[in-house]
Amino acid sequence: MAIMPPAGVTPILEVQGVNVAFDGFQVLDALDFSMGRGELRFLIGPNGAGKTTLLDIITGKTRPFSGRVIFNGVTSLIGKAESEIVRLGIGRKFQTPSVFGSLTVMQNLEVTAGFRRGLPGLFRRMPSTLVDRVQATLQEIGLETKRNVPGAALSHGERQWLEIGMLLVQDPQLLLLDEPVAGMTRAERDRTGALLQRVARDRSVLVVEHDMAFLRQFGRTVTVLHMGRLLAEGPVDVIQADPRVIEVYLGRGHARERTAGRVDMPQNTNASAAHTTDKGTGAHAVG
Amino acid sequence: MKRHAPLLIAVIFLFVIAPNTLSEFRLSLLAKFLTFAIVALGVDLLWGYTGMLSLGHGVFFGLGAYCWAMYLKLEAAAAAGESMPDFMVWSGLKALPAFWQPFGSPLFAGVMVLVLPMALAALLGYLVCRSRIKDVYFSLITQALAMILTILIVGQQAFTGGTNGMTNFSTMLGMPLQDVRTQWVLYLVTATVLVAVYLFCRWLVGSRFGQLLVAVRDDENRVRFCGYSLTAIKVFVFAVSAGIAGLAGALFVPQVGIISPAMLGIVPSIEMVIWVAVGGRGTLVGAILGALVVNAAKSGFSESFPDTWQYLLGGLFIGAVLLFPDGIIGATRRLGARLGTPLGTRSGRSAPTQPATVGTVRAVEVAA
Repeated sequence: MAIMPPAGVTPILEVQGVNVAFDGFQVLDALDFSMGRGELRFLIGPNGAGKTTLLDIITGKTRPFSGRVIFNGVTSLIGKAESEIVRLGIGRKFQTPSVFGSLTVMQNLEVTAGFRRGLPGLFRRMPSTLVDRVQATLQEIGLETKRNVPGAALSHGERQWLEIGMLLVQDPQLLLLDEPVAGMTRAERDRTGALLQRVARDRSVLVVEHDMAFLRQFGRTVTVLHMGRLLAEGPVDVIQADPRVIEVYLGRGHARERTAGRVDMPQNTNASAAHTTDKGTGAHAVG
Repeated sequence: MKRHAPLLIAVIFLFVIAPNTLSEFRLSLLAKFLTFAIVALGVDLLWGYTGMLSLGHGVFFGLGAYCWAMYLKLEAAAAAGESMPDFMVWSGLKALPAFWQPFGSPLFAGVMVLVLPMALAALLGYLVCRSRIKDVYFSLITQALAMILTILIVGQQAFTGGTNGMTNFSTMLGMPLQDVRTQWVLYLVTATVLVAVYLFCRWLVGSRFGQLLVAVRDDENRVRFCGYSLTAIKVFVFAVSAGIAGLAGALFVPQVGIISPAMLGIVPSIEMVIWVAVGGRGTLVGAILGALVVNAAKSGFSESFPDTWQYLLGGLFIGAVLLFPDGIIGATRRLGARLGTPLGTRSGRSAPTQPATVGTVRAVEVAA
């Protein structure tokens, strides 16, 4: 497991004044964002708020026009290749589950586990520490019985877990998860939530999520993006009561529901599922 | 032991049965097909496993062939007491060009057979991958390469033999090429190289690196976000594949006695892909089988139906691709699965099969 100083000493991630524009459209507008060590942070915002773009900036997929992104207080991530950033200890799960369909669950984990040993390491026997870690990850994501099943034959939820497992097996310090529970059943969602809470015990986790029920159940701190800017940040209940947030994102229906005292919002879950199908092939799309 | 049975049967056929039963003509034909089977292994590694469809593998085959042909021409010239190959004399060259000179050494030429194709592939692969060019654009660039090399060779007649290519070889390492014994030795060398390349590829795809190749085919973006350098993987496999093709080219030249631009252009390059598609991409045995079956059919049709053989061959391709989208091996496996025998599960070394739809679409693209 990653060794790190106590939470809150230095931020694991600092985003300062990041600007990104696509075709003249300002996706991120002088965005400042920061996350402490060992934090489980949720990131929400309406479509086009810049959530996925923020992940793209952190992981090196997109280069900002200006601004700084600092990992661990010292390392600038701007201009680094995606694979370099992964080796620094930042793992990312995409919006659409992307696992290797032809490889079995076990092979998916094995092939990702040895990434620090480079390509020559793939020809050598895996060290026992890695074998153990693959085994532990397999248990963590609850896919021991499916270890020899090809990725393509897994259910949607299982694929999401496998992809999270592919990140965990690399022992990252910071995990970025783009809609990990989209399209999941209630039971799968709860299982994922529990998994994320376990994972966040010794790692920092940033979760982009639309599912408000999930957020209420498992979220601690929430950041709200709107039009490429930080709109609000704080504990879940405070954010939910924030009139600006309700205005731009949660909507009036949500306010009614809150007064009615309901915990779950099934229609919102459906909306997020529909949203995923919408963007099904667009993991690269501006979020 | 049971797992190695098919390999053992193939080795016995190649080294015992074929040399003792086939006529001189048939054996030399088989030798030619075996060089194609070597190329097919390289194409399969690149396309079947890694998902990079090269439509210019004739270039690497051709480079290997030309390197070795240059040596053969110089040996022929030396034997005839000339200072340079015949076509240079006809083109009015006064002296042997400097870049030709080291090819008088079989060692140098032999090294170049591997180094030149690999270096070209590595360079092209690096430039292409660095710019994140992939899929069909990669295919188009390789196809353009095939065209460029063809034009270059045809245009530089004095240095390359032009459209006619290089032919009229006499000896190789002092052995007369017309001699039956020489051809016999060449056949055995080719068969040995095929087995060696097959074993090498099997080791490669059986390793976790092989799994990574399949991972690139499945989702290269994910591979990048797993922390691997996609460029390094692609450059490596492209270069290995090109080296294999170069080796095959060098074995082809002394047995067939000629290499010309027509043998390395776009059409032969596409044929190489068809061998793999017909045999079953993503399986090494399929690649070998495809090269042998397609070329045997080609030769059989052209002997029996000299007027219509090309239509028959075209019909075979379309039929094979429509009926057996995952090739002979895929069809055999499905048949095996239907009959309830574990035939399909026997070869654990081959890559897991792809979703059928993807295979179908890609295969049809090739046929078209």
